[in-house]
Amino acid sequence: MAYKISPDLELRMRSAAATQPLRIIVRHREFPTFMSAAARALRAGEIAIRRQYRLVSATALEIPAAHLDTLIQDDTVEYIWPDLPVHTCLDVSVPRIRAPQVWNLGLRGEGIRIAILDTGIDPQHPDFAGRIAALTSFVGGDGSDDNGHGTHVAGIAAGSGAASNGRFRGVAPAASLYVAKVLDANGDGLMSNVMAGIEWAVTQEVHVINLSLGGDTPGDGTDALSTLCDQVVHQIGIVICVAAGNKGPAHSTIGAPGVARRVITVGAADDTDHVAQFSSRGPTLDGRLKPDIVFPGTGIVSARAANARVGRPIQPHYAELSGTSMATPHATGAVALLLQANPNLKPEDVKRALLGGALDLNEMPTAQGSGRGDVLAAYQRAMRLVPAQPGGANTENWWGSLRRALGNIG
Amino acid sequence: MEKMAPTLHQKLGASPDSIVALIVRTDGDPVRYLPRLAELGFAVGHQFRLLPGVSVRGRARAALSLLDEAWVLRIEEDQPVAAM
Repeated sequence: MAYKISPDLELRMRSAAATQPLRIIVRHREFPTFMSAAARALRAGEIAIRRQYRLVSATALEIPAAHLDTLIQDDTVEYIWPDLPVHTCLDVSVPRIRAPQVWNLGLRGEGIRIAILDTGIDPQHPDFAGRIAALTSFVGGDGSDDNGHGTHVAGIAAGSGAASNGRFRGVAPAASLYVAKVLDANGDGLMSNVMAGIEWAVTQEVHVINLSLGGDTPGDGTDALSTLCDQVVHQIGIVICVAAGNKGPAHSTIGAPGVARRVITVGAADDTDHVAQFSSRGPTLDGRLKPDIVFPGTGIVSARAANARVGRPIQPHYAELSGTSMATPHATGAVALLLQANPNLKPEDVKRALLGGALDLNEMPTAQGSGRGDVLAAYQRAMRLVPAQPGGANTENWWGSLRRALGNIG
Repeated sequence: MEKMAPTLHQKLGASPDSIVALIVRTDGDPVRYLPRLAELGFAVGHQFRLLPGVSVRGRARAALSLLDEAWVLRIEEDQPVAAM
């Protein structure tokens, strides 16, 4: 029997209860058909086909452990493996969006200030050493991450990968981080805390704000949080990337502030470049197209906080999480690279470059927006949109508008 | 723009003694309205400058009375948000 079954599956089979479902992949001798007992079990619904492959003669099945023998004895079956879970490490998702090609141009986010408004950050994590420029909290405590979500998000946007010899490196690994804790240990908060965090980020002169959070009520963008986001983008000139939400695949499931007009609303793509089932869909309640774009967001391995309560630990310093929360910092990191490349870009230029460079996944616009983000293509567009003049006038205007808007802060 | 969504108006009217968390948008700098908010029994949380306003907690009955204040531009629930 052992010749037909992988050793680790045999081990699982022995330790599993008879009724415990096992996920397996079966390679067939010729065509993907079953004989006798296995065929009967299939017809009886005791074995469920999860996927039939075309390029190889194989089938993914879910089967009670007790039925595995039936397959082993089936002459049409050549070999059986366990269908193991896979994850998209940053060393997969970051190359997929072609960030390393932009790194090779000397752009890693140096001088760009990224605000992460989330559950805080683990300030001791090696991947952020020397790059947390400011840390505060609007929900009590000192901003340290007691949940794990914020640290994971920060790692995707700007982790250096130091604890993994550079393997799990974020999109803009040299950017500075400005972190505000606006969500509690359960990952929950109030709109007003997020608004306070945004005003704080503005006073910190950040270039881009990451909001991997949102409400679960579909919106039209007129609420206070969405209105503030639009104002910060339009009047202050700060780019804001917002998670679309995880209420898909139903339509009109994007809440505030993902429904804000001027932000970049980010959905999630899976590791086969399809829009993730869970990714919230547009349109907004007032009929506007959202999300704007999708980025990788399933099974992402990134930095793990020492006190993490969420995520599947992969190594002591890393964990796996899925969600549009994970897709959003891919966009934020991409924005950081674009702004370093061309400081004269305004938020609408950045958005145009990102959306224009996106890879069309041939899915509904209300699911994929413009498509899956491609940092190299966005970079090429960003350099054509506005002439790049290092230290150009945009920075001056930006701080001037900030001072006018906030009066005597500073 | 209406000062309060009909659904919120109905909710507040249905239980006037309940404590509610709100975001109140004000006509200009919210600092000058703090005494009036205190007078109405509101505890003020954050004050916002970019989008002038405050976050407050107080009785639903007091929230409804804010509709008569000329400096109040909009009242909405301080809604929950969560990590995605």
